[in-house]
Amino acid sequence: MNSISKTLGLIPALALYAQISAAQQAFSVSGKVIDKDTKLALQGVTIKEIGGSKAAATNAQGEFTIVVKPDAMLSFSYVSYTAQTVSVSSQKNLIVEMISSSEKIEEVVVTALGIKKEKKTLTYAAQSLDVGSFVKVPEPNIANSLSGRVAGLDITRSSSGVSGSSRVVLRGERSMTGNSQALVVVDGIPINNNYYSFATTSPGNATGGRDVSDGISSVNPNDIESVNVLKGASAAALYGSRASNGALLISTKKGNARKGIGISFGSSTQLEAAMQLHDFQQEYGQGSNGEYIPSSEYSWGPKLDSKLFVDSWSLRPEDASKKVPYSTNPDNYKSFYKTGITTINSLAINGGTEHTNAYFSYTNTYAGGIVDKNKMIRHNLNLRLGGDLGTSRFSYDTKLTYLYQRVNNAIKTGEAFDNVNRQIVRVPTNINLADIKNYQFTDENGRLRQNYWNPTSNGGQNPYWIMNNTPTVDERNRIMGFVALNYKILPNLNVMFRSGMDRSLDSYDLRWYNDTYVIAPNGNYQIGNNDALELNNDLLLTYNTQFGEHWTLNANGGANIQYNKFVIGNTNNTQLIYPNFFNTGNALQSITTRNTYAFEKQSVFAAADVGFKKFLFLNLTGRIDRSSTLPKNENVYPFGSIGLTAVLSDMVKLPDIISFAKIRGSWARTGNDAGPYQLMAPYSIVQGGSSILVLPSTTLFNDQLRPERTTGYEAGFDVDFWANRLGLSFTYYNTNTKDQLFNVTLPTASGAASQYINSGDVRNNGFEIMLEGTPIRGENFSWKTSFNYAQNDNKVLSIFGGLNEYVGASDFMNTIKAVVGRPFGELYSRGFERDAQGRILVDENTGMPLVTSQQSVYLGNTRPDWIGGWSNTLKYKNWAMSFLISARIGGVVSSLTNAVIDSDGLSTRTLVGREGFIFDGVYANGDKNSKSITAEQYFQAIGGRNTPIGEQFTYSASNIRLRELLISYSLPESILEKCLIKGVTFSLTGRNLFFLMNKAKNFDPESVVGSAATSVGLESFGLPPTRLYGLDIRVQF
Amino acid sequence: MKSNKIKIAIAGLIVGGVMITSCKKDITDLNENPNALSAVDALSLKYVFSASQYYGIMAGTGNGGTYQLFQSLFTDQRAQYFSCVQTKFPSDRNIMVGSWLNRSWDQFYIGQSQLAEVLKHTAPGAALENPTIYAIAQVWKVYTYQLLTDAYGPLPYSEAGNKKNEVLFDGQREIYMDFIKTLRESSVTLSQADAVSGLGDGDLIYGGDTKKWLRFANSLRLRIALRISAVEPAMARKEAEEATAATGGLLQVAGDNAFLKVSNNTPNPLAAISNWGEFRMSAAMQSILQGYDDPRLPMYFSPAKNSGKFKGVRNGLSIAQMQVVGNTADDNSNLAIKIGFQNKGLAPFPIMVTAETYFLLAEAKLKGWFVGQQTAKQYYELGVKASMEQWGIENTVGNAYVESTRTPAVLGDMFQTPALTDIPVKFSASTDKQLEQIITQKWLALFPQSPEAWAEYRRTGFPKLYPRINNENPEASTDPNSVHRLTYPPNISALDPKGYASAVEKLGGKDNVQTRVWWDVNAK
Repeated sequence: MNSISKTLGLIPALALYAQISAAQQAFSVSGKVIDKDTKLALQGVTIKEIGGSKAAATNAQGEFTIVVKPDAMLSFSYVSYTAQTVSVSSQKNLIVEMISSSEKIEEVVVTALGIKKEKKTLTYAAQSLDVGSFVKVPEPNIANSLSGRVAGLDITRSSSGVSGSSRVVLRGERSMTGNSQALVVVDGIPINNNYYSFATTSPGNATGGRDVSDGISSVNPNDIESVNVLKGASAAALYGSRASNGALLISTKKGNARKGIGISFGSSTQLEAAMQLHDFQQEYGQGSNGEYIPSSEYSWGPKLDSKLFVDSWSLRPEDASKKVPYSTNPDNYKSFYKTGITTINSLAINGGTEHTNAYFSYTNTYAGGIVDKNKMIRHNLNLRLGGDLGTSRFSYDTKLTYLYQRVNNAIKTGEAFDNVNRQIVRVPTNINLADIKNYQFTDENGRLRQNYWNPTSNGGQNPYWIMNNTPTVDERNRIMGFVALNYKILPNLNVMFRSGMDRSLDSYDLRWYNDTYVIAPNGNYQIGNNDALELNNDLLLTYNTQFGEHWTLNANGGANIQYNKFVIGNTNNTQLIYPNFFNTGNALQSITTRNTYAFEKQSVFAAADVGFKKFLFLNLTGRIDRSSTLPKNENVYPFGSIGLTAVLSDMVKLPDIISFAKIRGSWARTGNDAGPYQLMAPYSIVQGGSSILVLPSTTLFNDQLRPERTTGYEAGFDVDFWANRLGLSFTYYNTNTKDQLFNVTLPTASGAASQYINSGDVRNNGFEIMLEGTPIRGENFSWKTSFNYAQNDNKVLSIFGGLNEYVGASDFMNTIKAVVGRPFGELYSRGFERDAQGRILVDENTGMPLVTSQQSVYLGNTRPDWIGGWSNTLKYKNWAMSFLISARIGGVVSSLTNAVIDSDGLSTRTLVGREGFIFDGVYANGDKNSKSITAEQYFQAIGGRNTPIGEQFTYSASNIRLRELLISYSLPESILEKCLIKGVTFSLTGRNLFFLMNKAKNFDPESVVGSAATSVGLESFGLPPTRLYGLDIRVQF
Repeated sequence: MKSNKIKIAIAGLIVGGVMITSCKKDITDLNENPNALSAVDALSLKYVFSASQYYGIMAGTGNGGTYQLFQSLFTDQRAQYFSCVQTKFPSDRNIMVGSWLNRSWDQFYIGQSQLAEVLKHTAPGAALENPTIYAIAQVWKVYTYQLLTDAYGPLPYSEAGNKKNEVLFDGQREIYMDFIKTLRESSVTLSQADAVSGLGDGDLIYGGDTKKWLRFANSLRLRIALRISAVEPAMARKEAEEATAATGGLLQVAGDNAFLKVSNNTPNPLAAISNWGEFRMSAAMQSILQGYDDPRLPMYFSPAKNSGKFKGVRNGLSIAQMQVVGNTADDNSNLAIKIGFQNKGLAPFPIMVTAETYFLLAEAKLKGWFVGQQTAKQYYELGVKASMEQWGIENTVGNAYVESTRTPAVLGDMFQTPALTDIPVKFSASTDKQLEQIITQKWLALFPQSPEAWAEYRRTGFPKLYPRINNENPEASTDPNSVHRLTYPPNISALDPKGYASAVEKLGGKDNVQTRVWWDVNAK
């Protein structure tokens, strides 16, 4: 806060300085501003002298007068219109025609390979995003900023704290076992977003584990100029095999020619606090059968009584005879989590001359999570240099970015025994948090011991021991850069050579102190180093021409070589000799592995846009890939797309209310190659036995693999009404992904656990609607609103041979399957046994409900029926407010946390029937149950860790939330006149402020165990949902 | 225009040039896996055999997890070697937890696929043809499959390893018939082989010693003969007598004991699981070991942490009972330090011990079979003494022990648990006690090989075990002999419905715990 007040203090001084300067020469200009199309006067247009202090606004007749220098440049700006610069050039009277900025003709979008196109010529759906609030409502991973903004983009995030990975899926899951995530492209070059496939996998079931940062999170939100989402295969066909899942095209900022240098500084701070918490009961404490047991992990003990003192659970010698009050500590869970803080400070310098432009930025991110000691520090450095060396033919563009990131104590997910959430959520309420903070002691043998109430429990541990004595550090050094050289062979023929590199060196350091259960007798130390390299070399020829009067041609052709190499190294020191000294020299036993994976793809491609009379456009693309990972006779394979669009509003006379209309349709085929080394069965070598073990692969390899194919079409229209005040965009799409490359599970008795095959057919179809409007556009007040809605229908049409089901993942509670005829991601678990009438069957001897022995009960699908978002920007004079409401409706989510805390007797649900109740069910003979059971018996049977009845712990995942709120105030220009500072904006920001609806009640259904395909819909000991609010300051010099 | 054409041509050449340069190299060369061997030879194949041995006891990779899922959580509790004190685990109350069975089953068949590699490459006519190694691998195959078929009944056997997504099961009788045939053939091959097989340090049990493998094969034949003695009495007798008389003999001296050599990265799986506070000495073990004042008590178990005394706990405790003082992990005896966690998993893991051979011979003698010169009593005492010797107990102690008239102890626990049985150590003159004595001492000597102990319990009804305190499986009861098999892992029906249908058909009953395996016809 110090820096903020200092900045504020500067402002009066600067304003004073500004007033000292005086205008030199006065020249009065008058004029009128009108809409270019309608020729109607525009009221409230702001006119400013560039580099000067004068400003004016138009009146109701669109007229203005301003006194400036005769050679002044005037800028004209108006909400929803493209800003214009007009040179006065001693003219006394100006007529300025402004163009509505929502007019499609002017809009240029970045498409595949960084090729810019007029949006109206696109034959497929693409959505560009307003990046303004990305930076102001900070989110260390920009993937999460996209949530709710793009029709058909589904984001779920792993519950692993400040550095968690996110799952980015466009238009539904395509690949049953492969990658369904969108390709991420920065400045025309794909980046590596896939840290997992070689090193480890993000947790995919409720067992959980360790999740590390994904690749997209390395992109600095402050450097982003635009984000374009290419949703379908048609749009992305030029990327060949990698883009069958759509692509996110991110363009970053460049310098531009200007007077002097531009400096902008931004600072955002956000606080994060846990919101919806579990509903813990406060009436009963530790024990069982109504008896107090100090070592119990359950809360089925006697009623709490603040007058009662009981034996302490503490194992510390000094607590041996201590008595503790047997009373409630309702704030344990809440006070364990602290307020998280994220601050992002960024500085950008932008400058340029006629022949050179430069942009430099530095961003510093600090994110402290709601769990103490979970934090991330990130530094992004970015240098962009471009220019033309003074020639008109040659130009260059170069970029170099460097990222350093350090994550401390990334939160483990799910049932990982060192997941701190799993421990704190299970603390009985009679245990005082202050007592748990004494998490360790030294025993009579001088050995460090964990202080936990049930010391030999497998999985139950002191949360503070986990927080302090299982530290982890993840570091990433990542360099990304490119050089692009352009040469204009002819005015309309350009050749570009571009070479891009993305290299990421990741290391991790994982420590478990001795007495961390299950794993660490004297301490366990694991370290790893991963080196990921991606190189892309592109050659691109661009040719534009006109034939006759009506025909235009934009043609591209080129080649690409993509090379990837991953080196994955790990050393696991499972047995340390001297306790808790974490060094490989201190290891009795260490297993070191280092594996290399390399693959390459060579491609040639061509694309052509043929235009007729600027209202009919035909788009053709073709690409041939050659992959190193497929068999020689199958490794060359073509892709392509064809699309047509017609701008109806330019072809025929439409009713006046329609200002723009176009229809579009396209067809495309893309595909996917295999991962490396899947053609030949290897024998791996591990240490063990008398020296080594040689392990034949448990996967059947297939030397006949073919590329996977996605064939799809889409059709849609874009219509604008009332001079672009209202826009509607609609797209219907259908894709079939066939010959999927997947590793099908075999019965192990066959001699293999799985087999690489080409099989299966998954269909996705659905539609997307975008509605954008400007209901109010006035001089002082305006309101822009946009709404998106997407519905995807996924269906698995076939799997493999006669196989009807494919188990994607399973854990103690859930089985996630693909089932023929059903959408991917079906959730099964155990349930109650029922009779023909649907009544629950009860064991006549015990009075307990009967439970299916297997996870055979269908509970729903884990994917939403539809997703949507509603965003709004309201402006009043210097004030602006925007908010985003997002909805994810349908689908189910299961919670292992709830299953465990119910079994533990911790939740309010377990208060009913503690003294006994009769379960509502019938015996096999149809008679009504009359035997009483206790809540303890009941919840331990239906909940718990090993055989929970998922039927009781699965909820609708539907939720609607206020995802983002931003209130900004910009200092009026009148204050900053003649100031060094050109603009200052303050914003109050909020993220995830509240749920308008959350059927899952005590957890966030979008925060799941990991970012694997099967993790969607599985909550397991996640962080509590949080609310974030903060302050953002932007200063421009 | 002309110059433009030239420029276009130049641009075309550049593109073409880049493509040609890039295409010259055969990029599929890049797809050769540098991280693994692409083929096996004689040297690497012996370490494939090592893997199949370690996986054969379902230890597999990891820290004992899969061993736990079959032995600790099922057979250990069924044989009442250990009781469960972990509140999260219901299998001691007869619940069949499918996801546990899935993983141990998978681990077992991965081990079989490793063994199949050894067999494939050493089979007659194969590139690495080696009749001795082939025979040893066949013997190991019988040993490991017996562990699994005795627990489940019908198994994928003749079709196992077919590399298809449908694997039909064989009935247990057919599997046993093949065991017998295989062991006969292997015994012949091994009796003619050189003393050293060439497996060397790849053989984690005998270091490639052919003669020991021959004795192991003959002893396994004897084990199998007695297992089928109720369903195929004539064949059983013939097998037992032939095995005893076969060249090479049986496992007879301490050096013959089959132990799996373990190491840091393939440790004794019992070590890791003994650190988890989940299993403690059973009440049955306590009653017998304390009642007999058995010198093996401190070899098998360590004193309870809380009391410093040896204490066991009943099987089948409810979650509530597990939390009560007296029943918790720290109130009861964990595995002994020497074979447990503190030894870092470096205690060799027993596969088959000579003591078992003597008890098999003693039982055969009771049946009147011609299996050597000694009497049932002598074989019984030899078995007891062999076990004592195996655990490093002095001969004098063993000699005194076999004369002991002590009987199992009353526990004095919260369940008022009586003595397990009234039989003494000293071999009884009365024939109706002798079988109980032989099998009870065998049960002690087999420790910790619970799959074998549970099979023999089902076959003979001995040792008399305690009723479980609770049962939660509607198809079973607290009667310790109410669970006759494990139910098939749920993955089988999910992944291979036809295979599963063939299993149920061969089982001849429902896939539940009541249905008995083929040889289980006698006891109760």
